Amino acid sequence: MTNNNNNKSINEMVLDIRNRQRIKPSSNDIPTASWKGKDLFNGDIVSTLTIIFKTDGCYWGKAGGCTMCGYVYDSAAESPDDSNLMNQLNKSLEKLDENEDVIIKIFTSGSFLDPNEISLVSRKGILTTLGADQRIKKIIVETRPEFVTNSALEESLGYVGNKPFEIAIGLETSSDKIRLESINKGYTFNDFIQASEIAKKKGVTTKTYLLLKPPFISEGQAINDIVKSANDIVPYSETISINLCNVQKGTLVERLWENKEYRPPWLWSIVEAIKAIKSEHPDILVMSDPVGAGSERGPHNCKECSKTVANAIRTFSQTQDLRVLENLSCDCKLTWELVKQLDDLTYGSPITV
Amino acid sequence: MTKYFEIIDKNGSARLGNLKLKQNIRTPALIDTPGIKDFESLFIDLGSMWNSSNDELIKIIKHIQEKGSCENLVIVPHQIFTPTVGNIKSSFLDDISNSIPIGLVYDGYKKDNVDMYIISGSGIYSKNARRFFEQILEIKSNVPFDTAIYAPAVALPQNIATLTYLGVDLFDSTAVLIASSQDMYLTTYGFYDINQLSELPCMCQDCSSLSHQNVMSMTRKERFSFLKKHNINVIKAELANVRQKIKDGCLREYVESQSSSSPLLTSLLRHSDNNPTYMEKITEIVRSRTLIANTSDSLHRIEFSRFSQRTLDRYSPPDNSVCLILPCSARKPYSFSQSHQKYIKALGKYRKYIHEIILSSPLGVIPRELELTYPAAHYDIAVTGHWSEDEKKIVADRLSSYLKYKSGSKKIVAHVEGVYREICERVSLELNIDIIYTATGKTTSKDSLSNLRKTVSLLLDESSNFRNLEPRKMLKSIADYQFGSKIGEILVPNNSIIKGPYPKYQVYIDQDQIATLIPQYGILALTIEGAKLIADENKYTVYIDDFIPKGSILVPGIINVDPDIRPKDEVIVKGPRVICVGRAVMSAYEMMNSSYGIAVDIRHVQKLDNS
Repeated sequence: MTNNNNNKSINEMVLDIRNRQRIKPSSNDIPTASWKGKDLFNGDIVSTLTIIFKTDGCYWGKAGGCTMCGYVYDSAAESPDDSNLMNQLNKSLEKLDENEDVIIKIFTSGSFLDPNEISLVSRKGILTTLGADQRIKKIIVETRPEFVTNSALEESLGYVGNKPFEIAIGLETSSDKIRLESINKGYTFNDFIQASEIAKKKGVTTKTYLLLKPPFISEGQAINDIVKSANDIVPYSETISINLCNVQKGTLVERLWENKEYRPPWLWSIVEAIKAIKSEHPDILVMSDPVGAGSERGPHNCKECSKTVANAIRTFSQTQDLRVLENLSCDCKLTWELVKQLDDLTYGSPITV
Repeated sequence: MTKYFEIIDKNGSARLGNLKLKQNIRTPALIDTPGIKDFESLFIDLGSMWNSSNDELIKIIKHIQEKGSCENLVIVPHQIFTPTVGNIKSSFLDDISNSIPIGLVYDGYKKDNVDMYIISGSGIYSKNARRFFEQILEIKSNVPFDTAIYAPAVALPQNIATLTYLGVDLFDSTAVLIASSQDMYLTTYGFYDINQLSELPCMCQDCSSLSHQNVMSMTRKERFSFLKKHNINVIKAELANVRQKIKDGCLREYVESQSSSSPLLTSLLRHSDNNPTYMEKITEIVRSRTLIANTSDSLHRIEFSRFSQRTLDRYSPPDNSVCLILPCSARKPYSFSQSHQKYIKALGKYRKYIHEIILSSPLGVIPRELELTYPAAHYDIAVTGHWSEDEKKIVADRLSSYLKYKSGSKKIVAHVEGVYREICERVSLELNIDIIYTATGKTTSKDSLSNLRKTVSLLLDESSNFRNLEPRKMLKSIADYQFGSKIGEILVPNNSIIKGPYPKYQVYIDQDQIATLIPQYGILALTIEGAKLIADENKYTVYIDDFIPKGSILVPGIINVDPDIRPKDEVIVKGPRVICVGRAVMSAYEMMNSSYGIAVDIRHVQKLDNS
């Protein structure tokens, strides 16, 4: 019939693409990445240290997984052991100055709380080290909701002492339809709510990642979905971080993008979404780092204004001041407004200008 | 036709339709995309399952149903993945009353009561003509012939002619609006960046009231609103143009010239020509306009390949010993031309003992008896004496097949020059047969003509007394060509009498008129007597239910049809108590794949005496 992959599920298609990628061998003693940045913390701008641990990788991603996620290929070619992981941590901590206050953000390309990815021994080692380090003011770890259990949180809190501990969950959207059928994330909004309620009871805060414009979703639908999702998660989340879908290597989204069937979101869309969310919920922290902004693979407007608009979004994330998003304008906004209106009605032909 | 969509006229796969909503929409037509979201507009999208819950969708459907209007076409809720993934879902079709006009995103299956199918993903195929063509072809071959086809997010003034040619009925303003926002000034052959134009190549009201200076001093918003007006005007004018071309039956000629403005369009046309099965099934057998074949793509027209194939399959050459190959002429029928008059005069009394065939580009081989038959006398080409390699190959292949299967043990004489001779030589080499060439320069020179006469006279043996060129043989050949081999023997037997001056021949058997030659198309029209004669052969027959037709046969009355029937074919209609003759309006394919509409225009009806 009309489609090339009539009999294939989305997961099978993602897995097919995954199986064709190669993971480059690299030292297991060095993290996939670590870098310093700035974030808003209790009203002040403070340093952050982001560490992406090189692990076995996301169990969900290895079995197919999310349509936009290329982080799977950041995992290790051979399983790192506990000492490897501690070496990765120590390498990263070398980047900190002696007396600086810092928030640690831990990613693994999968779930920090998945004991098959970060063993219980490593979990203890990493969190104890961070708990004991006086410079570290807050620890955020990313995980899928199924690993957020009473015991995992109690254990973690025991290691970090009285430091603020936060879980970060990539919910992407409050729509189960989109999360399951477009993103292929495999869990429901209810699973997320449960995780966040367990966390709340333990005094652990929740940061939620939303995804602007998963595949098959029009520009207008994407904005509406993000705004609706933000409304839906406000009771369960202290911070909302909006990821702008970009085209990562070895993903279904990349395949679609190559075939002109996907366009990353316009930066105007995130500006509109932030304005709507922040004015509705002034107290919630809304952040967005437009990764890859301005490139074909990243969120973009036209060549003239992408940089300016992306910078305004970054400034907003650090200041939470909506005024920085006012007075942005460009001729391309006219096209975006049309796209927003017409992209819903293309019946499978996203407007990719 | 469905309850709300009616095909008024056709040209190949292209249709002129009428969509009966709040107002009648003449298709091919443009849908105003932004309007689709408005519940008062002609086309209403009920929503996407990606972002609307089932409850919300049901509420919307209820709201629309309560209005109880059949004035707007509703598009059934859908969840669409892009073509790489496919897997389109629609739902609530069963919840929507079938008394209102319904549009459905095509998901691989046809459904009842759908008036319009949407080609999903059509807008992204601008770089992939093959996939686009396959997609259109698949929908066209799967859904009822008489439902409307909507290709969203793709229409530009440049491409609607070709897409209509392939069978699309509805377009929308999406691509035109986006282009307008990007400073694109659209034309039917492409676009200009408005900023690069030193004058506006259009004299429509919106353009002629503006100078270049005015345009340059506009803000982007003002430019958009001007471009939007011009661009929408251009596409609407082009739609009117395309509708007229369909009416005039010459869309193909227009598409050949117009599609050359874009590789995508040329590719679409070529994919279509390379996969002619569907198109052949619905292409008219004759048409009244001269067939203009001036591009390299014209060589691949269905009319030509069909003529060539039918000649091979159905035509029986006369039983004599010499086959003479002659070049074609600009004047049609060929025998009316000055050159052919000279050949005929030169052949004199020998002419009736030989089998004449005419070699022509791009038609190939035309037996003299079929020179009146469409399209042999109905085409026009640019004559320069220079043929492309493609042209030579096609004609050589057709001559080769003809000589291989039809010339038997005949001696072959070719009275040709130049490229015709080159082709004959190629074929003679390929088939390893001897061809005697009689032209010693120009075919009409005195020497050539006397050589032709001499050669032919020497080749004919005393026993060859078959009189070939009598009108009876011509009508018999046409009957074979039209209805299938051997039918000629029944309709035009040796005891038949041919009346009337050439070419207005009438066939009689024992005082009964059997058939008339329609000179305009070179095909036969049957009388009831003629129909009865060949009724048992079951060729070109439409079988109907037990009723006595008046004027025309409608699709619902049809039980079965001969799959060979094409639009404008002469057909026999048989019912339990009746036999009729008429002219097919639809092809067999359309008759079997439509729900309503006129299938046959009846000329004569006769009740059968069953008692």
